[in-house]
Order: sequence, then C-alpha cells, then structure tokens
Amino acid sequence: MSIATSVNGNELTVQVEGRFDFSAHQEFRDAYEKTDDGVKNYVIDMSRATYLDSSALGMLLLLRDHAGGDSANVRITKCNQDVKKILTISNFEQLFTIE
Amino acid sequence: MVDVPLNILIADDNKSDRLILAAIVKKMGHKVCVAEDGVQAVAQYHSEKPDIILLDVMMPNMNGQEAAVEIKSSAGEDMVPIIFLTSLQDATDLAKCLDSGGDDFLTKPYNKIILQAKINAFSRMSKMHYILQQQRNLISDHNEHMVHEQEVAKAVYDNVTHAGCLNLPNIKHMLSPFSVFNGDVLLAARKPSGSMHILLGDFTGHGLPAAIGAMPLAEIFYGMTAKGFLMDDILREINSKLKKILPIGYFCCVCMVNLSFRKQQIEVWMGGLPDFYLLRHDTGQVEKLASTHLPLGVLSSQGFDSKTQRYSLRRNDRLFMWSDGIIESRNDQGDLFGETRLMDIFNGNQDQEQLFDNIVNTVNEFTGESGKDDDTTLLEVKMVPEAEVGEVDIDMSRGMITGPTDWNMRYTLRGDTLKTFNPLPVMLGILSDVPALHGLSGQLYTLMAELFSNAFEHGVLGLSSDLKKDAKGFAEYYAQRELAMKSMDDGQVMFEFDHSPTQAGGLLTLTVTDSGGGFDYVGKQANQFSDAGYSGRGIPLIVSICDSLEYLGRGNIVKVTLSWNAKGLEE
Amino acid sequence: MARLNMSQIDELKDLMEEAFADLVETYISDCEEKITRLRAAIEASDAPLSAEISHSLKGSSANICAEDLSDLFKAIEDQARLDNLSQMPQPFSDVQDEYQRVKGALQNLL
Repeated sequence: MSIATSVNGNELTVQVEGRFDFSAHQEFRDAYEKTDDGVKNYVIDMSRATYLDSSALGMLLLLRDHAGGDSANVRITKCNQDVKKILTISNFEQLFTIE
Repeated sequence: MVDVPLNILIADDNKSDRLILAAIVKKMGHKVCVAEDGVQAVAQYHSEKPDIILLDVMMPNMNGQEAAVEIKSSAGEDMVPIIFLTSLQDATDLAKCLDSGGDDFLTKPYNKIILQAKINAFSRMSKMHYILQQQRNLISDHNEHMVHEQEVAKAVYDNVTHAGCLNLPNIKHMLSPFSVFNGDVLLAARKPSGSMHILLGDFTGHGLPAAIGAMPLAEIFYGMTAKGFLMDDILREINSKLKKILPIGYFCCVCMVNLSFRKQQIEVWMGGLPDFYLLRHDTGQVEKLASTHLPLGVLSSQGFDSKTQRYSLRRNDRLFMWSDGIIESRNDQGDLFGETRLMDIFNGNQDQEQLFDNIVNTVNEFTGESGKDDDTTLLEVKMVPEAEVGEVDIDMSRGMITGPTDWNMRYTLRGDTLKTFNPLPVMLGILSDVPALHGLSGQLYTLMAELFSNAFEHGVLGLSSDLKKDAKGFAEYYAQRELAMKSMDDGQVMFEFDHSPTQAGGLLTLTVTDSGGGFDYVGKQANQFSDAGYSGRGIPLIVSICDSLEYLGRGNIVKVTLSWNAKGLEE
Repeated sequence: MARLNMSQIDELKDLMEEAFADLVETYISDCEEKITRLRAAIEASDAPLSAEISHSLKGSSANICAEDLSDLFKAIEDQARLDNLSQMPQPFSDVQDEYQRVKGALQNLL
C-alpha cells in the first residue's frame, strides 16, 4: 500500500496503490492535509488500487468533509471492478463523482 | 562491591572448601548461608530464599543432583540459578547435573575471577527475570481488570441490543463477533400490529468502538417499534442520531425490513450492505436485493432518503441477510469467499430447510484454521402465517379500571402533514392511557392503520383497491399512489375518538371522515365488503376486531365501535 | 615435588586474610580424619567408600593449592572407581608422606 500525490493548478491528485485499508489512514490524511490552500478540486486515482474496505470509505468521507462537505468537488477515477463494486454497494456515487 | 547484595547459598560437605567459597562470595559483598549436605541445602533454600545456589555434587544424605531437582520443582517459575561445584570430569556426569536443573558448573580448585563472573552474570539474569515477571504480572493484572470491565460493559450492551424477538420460529440467525464486542447488530421486534421489524447493521470497524454506536441504534429501534412508528420514522431517527454521534468517516451499513404477516409482504430499506437473497419456496429461484442507499450516519437529515422496496412473499419464501463478513471471509491462502461461492451454495442446495446450516458450514470450512478478521452475521427469515409466531406480547401489568374513561378527541391531518406524517403512534399513545385498551394496542393499531389507509388512499387519493389483488398490481398500486400524492394539494382525514364508561367496562367509538368522494355502500352489509371491488380494504380484518362497522354520508365516513368488559379482562 | 603452588597460595592468603589460619587448621584436621578412614576403607577393600573419601580429599587439596597431593588422591579415586584397589600405582605411605610435607609447608605459612 502506498500513496502518491501531485498538484496541477488547483487540482490535487492522490494515487492509491495496492490495498486501500486502515493501514493507509495516516498517509492518506497527510496527502490532502499537507497540500497548500489553493487546491479546489480533488481526484482520487484508483488505477493501481486493488481493494478497498469500509475504513477506506470512511477516509473518503473524511476527505470530502475536508474538501468542503456538500460543496466538495471530489472525483474518484479509474476504479477496477472490485473497487467499483464496493463504491456501488455503498452508493457512494451519491456523494462523489465516480468516473 | 555490588549495588544490591545477593543471598547466596553454599552447599558443600567439605568444610575447608566452604570456607574458601564463603570468603570469595563475602568479598564480593554478598550474604552467605551454608549447608553441609543435600537435605540441609533444600531446607536452607526454603528458609533463606537464596538468589543463587552453589551446590556440591557429591554430598552425604542427599546428593547435589537430587537436591537440585527438589529445589527447581518448588521454585516453579521463580528463577533460582544453581551452579554445581564439581571436580567431576566425566561428560555423562556433567550432563546429569544439567538434566537435574543445574545452570552452570564451577570446577575445583575454585577460581575467584571465574566465580565472580558467573555470579554477576546470573545476578543480571535473575534481575531481568524478576523485572519481566513483575511486568508480566502487571500486564496480567491490568488485563484482568480490563476484561472484567469489558464483561460488565458487555452485559449492559447485551441487555440493550438483544432484547428482541430473534428467537421466533421463523428466524434463524448466527452472530459471530471478531472480538468481545460485535460491530454487527441484529435486531428484531414485533410491532403493535403484529408485523415485525428486522434490522441488520454493520458498523465501520469492529470491537468496542464499533459496538458503542449500536446502543443508541438499538434503543431507537426497539423503543420506536414498540410505539408503532413506521420504518421511515425509525430510519430517519437512527440516521440523524448516528450522524450526530459518530465521527466523520464512521457509519453503519444497514438493512431494515418490515415484514407483514397479514399482507404477506416485506418492505426493505438497504444502505451499504452486499446483495441479499430472496429464495422463492415454490420455484427455488433466487432474487437479489441490492442496496440503494448510503449507509446510515453519512447524510444529514435533509439529504436522507427513506424510499423502500416492497416484495410480495408467499408462505415459506425466505430472505437471507448477511454482513460483508460472510463474502469477505478469507481462507489461509488469503482468497475471498466471494459472491460466486455463496451463489453456488444456493444453486447446489437440495433442501431449503438445510440451507442456513449449509452456508454456515461452507464458510467455516472455507476459512478453516486461518481464523477470521471481521464480525460475521447471518440471518434467515421465513414468511409464515401469523399464528406460527404467536400474538404480540403486551405488558398487562397495569391495573384495568383506573385511567381516563370518559373523554372525546378529534385529530385532523391536512395537506403535507397528511402525506408525510404517521399519526398512529400518537393516537395509540393516547388510547393506551386507558389501561384496558393498552392490552388491546395490537388490535387497535391494526384497526387504525386500516381505517387510515382506506381514508387516505381510497378516500382522499381516490385509488382503487382492485389493483392490490396480485403482485404485479401491487407495484402498479404503489406507483399510482406516488403520482396521486404528488398532485394532491388539499385533502384531509379526521379521526374522532369517543370513549365512555359503561357498567361493565367502556365503549370506544371511532369515526374517520375523509375529504374524498366516498363510494356506494348503501344496501351492503359489513360482511359483503370483501366482494370484488372492495377487497384490499381490510374490512374483514376490521370487522373481526370491533363490534360494529357502518358507513355514513357519501361513503366518506366510517364509524366503528369497540366495547370492553373489565370483568372479562380480569379473568 | 612441589608441595604447594606458591602463586596461588598467596592469592588464597589475600582472600582469606585472618581466616587463613582457620582454613589451614580446618583442612589439616579434616585431612587427618579422612586419611585414617581412607586407609581403613582400602584395607577393607571398600571401593565405593574409598572413591568417595579420596574424591573429597582430591577437591579440598586442590583448593588449598596442594596440587601433587590432589593428584595422588585422584589416582586412588580412579582405581577405586575401577574397583581395582589391589593395583595401587604407589604405596599408601607415599600419600601419607606427601600429606606430612604439605602440612609442614602450610604451617610454615602461618
């Protein structure tokens, strides 16, 4: 499990690699809390994530809260089938843009 | 000299050897006690509690090896290093010394430097052993204390979360917590109407942090269900409670089911749980029920959506519910159990009665020795005639004749309140203040529920009850109901309750008036309302509960009476 | 024959300090009693008892730095353990003579 970040203008991309679970807690949090204030859009790149569990869902909710709650612009992109399935079961498309 | 003097026992039958050893040990700053044979050595061990023992091998009465065996066995887990004093050179003899519990040797002639080094080494080892022992005891005391606290907390938790009716004959369930506390909750309770509410919840994580949210959830579920609140109200209340108390990122995946034995129907709200399976008894077909909502505790009250799915069930149709611990259980290779394996169990099953046990056994065999890493919950609920699950248990402990008996009340619902608000709990609450009626609250709830839905749906909204004859019509009926609700802007339903005392007990008269167009009731007797055209209005059910039923006005007023007899109740 | 290992005996004297005299007296009285018992045991052809006594004398003599005397007791112990008391490498009087020399040397140190 590892996290990589990149900033492009006002957009922060967080790439998650491997199993996205509680072990990523601190690193994931640092990834968006330590970026500067100019960030308005958030992209979670799941292209290299193999799995996510309910604590990962919780982390996504924390990010959404950090990014402004109901007015947050958070996109979850490039999910594999397993990841997509978990997001769908939890109906997270009601809170996030899932691409 | 040493920091802390040790107590060292010297056991040697030769007096001059003892003198030399004692001199070396005393020079190091330790205390000395002596023994002249094995028997004395064992006795000195008990009375002097030495830290280290220097033990001659060949001694009269009891030799060194025999003494070592006795000392080590009474020392138990305390560390008492034994250094054998010997001029033996035979390897077998030396090995025997170690077998008997010796920790080291010192050969004659004694060398001061070597003896000092050995005593220092063993002294360090004893100290470390002692510290470890102390720390271990401390940890074990703390642990014992914590386990005790957990047990008390667990007892409270169990009382709050397991007060339901999971023991009814139409339910099979398995709860398998990962730790003392369970992050999965399984609740079931009968409503005053005789229907049943079931809730399966899976909090984020497991153990105590997950379990703690289950307490308010269970309180709300049981409290509101007993008062006759509908699923919609209960889910809203739980959602807003959890949203308030859980930190962001923590939530509860929930499925709540309202199972009506009379209507042979289930109403389901699912958020965040894997697909559930509905097994049709006649065909053996499986229908999947999918989550359509976010878990509870995520959305604010404004954003919360309580929309439910309805399914008609026939006798012996079974609904299987589970937490994700089932499909996400792993074997020792780390493979997930997965939905395919679960579906295979259903496909390969020959006996529906055995299916529940099949699932439990298959999952257990799959995970094997690898152990689990999440809470696991499984539930099967079967549609049966209400008689098989029995009457709702109502608390009859209060007296019968006391309480309000002579009163009248009118309660009118209009506009949006009529569309969205469930008045039944409030009304039932007031009726239940009459102790005799409290005992009838199940029947009263059913009575009011039927009359209210007739007045609202057939009266105000003008829907035809014809549609409710089969499963397909059912869906159509609810679709039309949605539409009619949207276009309705005025309209009202008025309840008038009148309760008066009688010689024998009391008489309740309930008149329900709606703003709708009514219907042609003239010339029809109560027992004829079940004819085509009026089915689905639950009239036979109403008649079975009350003493009389009559339609008035243009068919938009219905009046029922129900009398009770104090004597009869007391018997 | 060197009666005592002189460098070791100095160390022993340092260690024992004023108790050294007590040690020497204890050793001498212990030896005399045990040598008498050892001779009787050998004459009675009691091999186990001979081995036990000579083992003890071997150890205490080594501890008092009388290496040669210790070796003589070791030879007796070895024969006794082989149950071969009739085949002693040296006559018992050699042991007694060496003991007398050690005793004299020790007493000289006091």
